[in-house]
Amino acid sequence: MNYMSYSINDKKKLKKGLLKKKNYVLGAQFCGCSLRSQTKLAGFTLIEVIVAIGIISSVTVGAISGISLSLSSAARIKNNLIAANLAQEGLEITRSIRDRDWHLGNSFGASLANGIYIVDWSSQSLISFSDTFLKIDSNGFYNYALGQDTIFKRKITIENSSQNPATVEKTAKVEISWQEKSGPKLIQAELRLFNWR
Amino acid sequence: MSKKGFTLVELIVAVFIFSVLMVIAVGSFVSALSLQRRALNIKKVEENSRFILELMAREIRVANPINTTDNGCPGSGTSILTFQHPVNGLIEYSLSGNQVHRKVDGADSIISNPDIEVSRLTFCVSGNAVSDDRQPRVTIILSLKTGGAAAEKANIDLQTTASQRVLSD
Repeated sequence: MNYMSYSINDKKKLKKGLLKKKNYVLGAQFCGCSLRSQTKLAGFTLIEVIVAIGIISSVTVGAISGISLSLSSAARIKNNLIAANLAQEGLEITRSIRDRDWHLGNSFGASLANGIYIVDWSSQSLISFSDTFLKIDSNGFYNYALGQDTIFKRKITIENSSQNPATVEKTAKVEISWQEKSGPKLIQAELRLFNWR
Repeated sequence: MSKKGFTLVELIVAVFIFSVLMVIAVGSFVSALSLQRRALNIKKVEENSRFILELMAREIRVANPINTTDNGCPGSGTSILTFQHPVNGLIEYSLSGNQVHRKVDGADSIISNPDIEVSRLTFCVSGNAVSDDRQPRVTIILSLKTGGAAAEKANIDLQTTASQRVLSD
């Protein structure tokens, strides 16, 4: 029994590698082919093994990097959410400082001079800017006085509006910036305050 | 020739290589699974806190009046806040059994997911006293966490402030 006695169908299968092992063992028994050539034909070549390992490992690496990407974006979204709430707080406090002017009988914008500032959750007026991290204390308050530094910085910018005079409209911008492994991140929000109560 | 098998050494080497590969494969699958759970937990706390804070801040802005009186923060915040909403009626937010409750005209509902634990809800009301020349404002401190193994846990500490829109001295 040798190659030539296979059916055409078998030869096709042989080419595809489906019959390889079984028939070559048979072939070796009956045709007395050398062990060397039998081994060479019957097993995987080094190239095949390398390609197979390459494919498997690239699939695995792909899957794992996909999962770790999903984790790191979840963590980034978390920081984004904290920053968005701190930004909202900055704008609400600025608005509350404008409203306080009404209670005090001041004119619009009396406490909102142009410049850069910081505000605390308890601030009743804008505090001149210093480039410091917000802290979080043991009660969970983000503030500037107590607790451990967080990764967030908050900056409030008061400007005149380009459309209206300063007696009618003021623009408050808040910037929350923080550092991540992938680089610096920034959230900006803007509030238009009018001489209107 | 046809009876040639594996030698013991060959077998041991083969088993060793196979087990090394399996340990690597299983280890990476297990760690992938735990990373995935962690990502899911982060998303859970994030979605819950987004919903809770958004709902509160939206209602507090238009509240009139805020019934809870000023409390000396940060030392003694309260975990219960009541106010009158112009459309929805009398609203009370509170923390009970590690879940956030929202009572509307006495009808209680839980607005946080039972999967997560609300470890802190503090309201800090200021400017609500009569003639204090301040606009009422509420600072909300919200901390959420999930259970699970140490490597899979997620937590978040949030703070935001809402200033009452209606002028009220």
